[in-house]
Amino acid sequence: MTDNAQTVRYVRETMIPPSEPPLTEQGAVKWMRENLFSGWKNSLLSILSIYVLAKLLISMVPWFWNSVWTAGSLNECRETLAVLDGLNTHGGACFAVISDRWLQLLFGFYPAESYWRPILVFVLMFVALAPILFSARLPKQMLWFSILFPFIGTWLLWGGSFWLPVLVIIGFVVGAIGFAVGGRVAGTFGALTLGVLGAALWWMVAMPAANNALHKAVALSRIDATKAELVEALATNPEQIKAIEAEQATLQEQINAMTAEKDALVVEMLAAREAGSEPSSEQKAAFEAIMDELMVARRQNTALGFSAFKLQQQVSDANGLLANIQALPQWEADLPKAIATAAELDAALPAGMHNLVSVNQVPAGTPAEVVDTLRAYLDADTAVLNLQANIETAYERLGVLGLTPVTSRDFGGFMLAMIIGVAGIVLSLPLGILLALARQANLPIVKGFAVAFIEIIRGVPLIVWLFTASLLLNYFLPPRTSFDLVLRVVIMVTLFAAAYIAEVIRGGLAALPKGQFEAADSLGLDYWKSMRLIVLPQALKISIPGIVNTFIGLFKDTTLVGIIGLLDPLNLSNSIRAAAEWNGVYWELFVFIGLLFFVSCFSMGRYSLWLEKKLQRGHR
Amino acid sequence: MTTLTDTPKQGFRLSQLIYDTRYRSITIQVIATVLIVAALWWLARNTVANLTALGKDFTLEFLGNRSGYDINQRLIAYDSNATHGRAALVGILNTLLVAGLGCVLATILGVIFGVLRLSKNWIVSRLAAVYVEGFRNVPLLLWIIAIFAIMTESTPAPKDFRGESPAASMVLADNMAITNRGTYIPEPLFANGLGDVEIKPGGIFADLYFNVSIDLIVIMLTLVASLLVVKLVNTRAADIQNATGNRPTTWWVNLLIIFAPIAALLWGLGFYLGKPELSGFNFAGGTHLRNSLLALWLALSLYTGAFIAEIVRGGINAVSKGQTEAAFALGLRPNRTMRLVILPQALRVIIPPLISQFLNLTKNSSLAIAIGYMDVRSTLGGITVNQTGRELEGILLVGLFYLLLSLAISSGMNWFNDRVKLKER
Repeated sequence: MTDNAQTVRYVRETMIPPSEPPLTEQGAVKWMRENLFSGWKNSLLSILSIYVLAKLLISMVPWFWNSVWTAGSLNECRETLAVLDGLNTHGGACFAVISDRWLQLLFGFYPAESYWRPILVFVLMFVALAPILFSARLPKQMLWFSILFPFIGTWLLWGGSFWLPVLVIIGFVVGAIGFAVGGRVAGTFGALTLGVLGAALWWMVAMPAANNALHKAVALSRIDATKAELVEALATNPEQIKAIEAEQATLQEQINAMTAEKDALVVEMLAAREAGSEPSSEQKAAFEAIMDELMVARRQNTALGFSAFKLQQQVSDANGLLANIQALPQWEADLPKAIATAAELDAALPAGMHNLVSVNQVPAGTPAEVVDTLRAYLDADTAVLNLQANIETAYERLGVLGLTPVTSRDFGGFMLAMIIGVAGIVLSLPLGILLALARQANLPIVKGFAVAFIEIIRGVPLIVWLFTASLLLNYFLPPRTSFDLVLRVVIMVTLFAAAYIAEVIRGGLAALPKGQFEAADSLGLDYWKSMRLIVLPQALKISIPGIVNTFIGLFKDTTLVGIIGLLDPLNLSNSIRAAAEWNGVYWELFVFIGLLFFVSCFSMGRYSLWLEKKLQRGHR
Repeated sequence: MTTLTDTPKQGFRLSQLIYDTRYRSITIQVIATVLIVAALWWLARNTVANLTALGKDFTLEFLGNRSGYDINQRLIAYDSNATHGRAALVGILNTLLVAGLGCVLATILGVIFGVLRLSKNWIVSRLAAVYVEGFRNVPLLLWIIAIFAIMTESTPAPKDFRGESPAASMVLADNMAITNRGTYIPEPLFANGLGDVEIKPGGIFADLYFNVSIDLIVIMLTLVASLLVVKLVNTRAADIQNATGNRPTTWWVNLLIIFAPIAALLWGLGFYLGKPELSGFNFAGGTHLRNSLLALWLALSLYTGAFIAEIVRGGINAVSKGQTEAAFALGLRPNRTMRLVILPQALRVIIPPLISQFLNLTKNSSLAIAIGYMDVRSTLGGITVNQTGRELEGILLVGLFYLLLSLAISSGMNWFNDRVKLKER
């Protein structure tokens, strides 16, 4: 065998390195050729888009870039723009309104010292949602917290005594016991009847009684201490208020002096600009320093005013409570008498008139003395109800053991949007599932009712339903019941969302292969078991993206509650604009509110997309 | 030997109502019916008790009373001496107007941006995505108020158009004036028009009187006739094509048939455009589009358009790539591939969600109240309710109107959907 090297003259031992691609085929140029200028149509479109984009950026970027963040009013914003950059009123944004009012836009008029409560609820909400949203990665035991969260959250937000959520939960326990006992005694129907009856009885009769009794016990056990506290508050608060007012007066003087100094500086600098020269950098620095100081002083002033207001409120509260404490024995003594009088008058009424709530309801031709008796009875009845309400409220105010109660009137801003949105979705889920099952069921009448409900709710705009909640709900409920507007809105939104969720879940049910239903039947499972164990877990899983989308829609729709007078972010922006110092601020508020909504909705949308992809992969 | 034992024959027992699946469904339905009827009866009884306690009754008579308020935006004759029923009718027409205009513009925007978002052009698809995500993720109410604020705050007042060197000027060759009181556009007028015909029903429909321009009727009839003739021409061309394989050129014939009669008619009627002109403190002449209408229309269209764009994108994506390739393999050009192969299949996916977007747009038009556009919720469900104190009747009527409108739209669109649907084997 001869050596190969001798027969082959020359063999290259290394590869030639690849030469660089031509300039038009690499890097940014290639990318642009492929993605922007691949043909004359595309080039035209690209140039058009770049032109539009440039136009937009040129008009918007300076506005954001020159924005003013420290100012006490729109006028000061404009002054700042004029003296520092020589810009006119539209030259820059006045985001000072946001730095001044952002807490209000987030929390409405919720008391500032309790901001930690909604924040805690917000954080806990994610803890409660986590085991549902990321079911694969978290332990199942966390679901117990998810179940408890609605009660804890409600209590944290509205405040009140700590036993309230416990009492409500006991209602569910009573219902469960009733369900189990009824099931033993009389099968499914007995279980349902006894369960619902038991829970309803607990919530409507036993729970208010227990609540009142607990409040009364706590109130009585510490009545002397409370009295002493109140008396002391009455004694010391006025002095404190005076001290604060004095402090405020000196602070106000400082603020006035600083404002005068700032005004002088503004005049000087504007004169310089008028003369055609830029104000000196020392002047600018001095102006900025004064604005910062002014901001700090004003914040301090507001804080002082707030604490004075708190003290003042304490005084009026103490006065009211002391009056209540004094009046309580009298009320309690009057109550049996009032009840006796009412019962006597009630007995004197002819049959068929005991349920009337107004003399307007009397049939024509009733003798005058009967009408008079009815009137007297109604007055006596009102007196009884008033006395009962007075006693109840007095004990409730004296016997709160837990968090300071906050009324729904003070709820607002994004907090309100979140509360209505989340409550609407959470409460509407069970109802939506029931409606979807009813619509799928093999029962013509039940199906008919479900279809009618869903179509009626979906066919009418939410705003009409909200007006129904604010104006008409009182007509549909028994006379003399009236409850909180936020609660009414939540109920209406729940019914509204339930119809949409039902349609989403119906889609999920329809997407399940029929074999799953048949397999469940062939295993001998009854309807509820097959639904609970086989069908619903799969159908709900498919429906989660749709449910999230419904939630996004609902969350955006919470801005509509402003139209019936609740303080959603948009309505708050109106009330901010109504203040003299921020009159005329539009875009800054719109940008802030829009951004907050955009961030939350966009991220939820991304989550739903991610989930959709993940679920699709699960199927293949 | 085996003996088959007959199943014991038993009479009907009460427990079968619960345990026998044949009877249980009846039991459940009876119970459900009783419960629901009881609930409805309870609500009705409460309502009656509350109404009598307040000294009110349930009547629609207020619709016949004098309304006493003005409506600035109206399509039919109306003044404060007209009835509440008439005011409701004005509101209904305004709702229908903005919903109709909105559906058209939203569809156009949605199709354009849906296709653009699929474009291979990077910057175009990104801009389309920004539009879609920006509008989808911010509440509609915010858009309505913001667009309204743009129109009223950053447009010139009519007085700015006056003087030697005005601060603002009209656009489109002095034909259109954009002001903070609204936009003025030219209106079609007829020098020798045929006048109006008055339609005046009686009885309970007495409020439904309105005037129809005879010019408009004649123009419409001419247009319909032209279109029918065009259809005839096309059918004939198709017949010839089927018989001989050659299709006669029809496009110029068709154009002539459509435009010649209309042009002749317009010339005969003395058609001209009435330009808006500045007189005193405001513009006169021309058609006045109020800012409330424009802002609501634009906001509804842009918002719904973003949703429609996603639907269109999804619909086109849903047609598998093999379809395009097959069409190319048959030798179809990209244009015809789109028109004959992709679109018909995409439409099947697009139309059902499109219907629900149209429904949403119509229902969302009730947000008009935020910027003072007088739709049915603002007239019948707003001012009329406040003036007469008939909130129960007023809001029920408004709800009923929206419900009927929704049902009408959805059934109409479902009929259309059935027609374009691919017939499955």
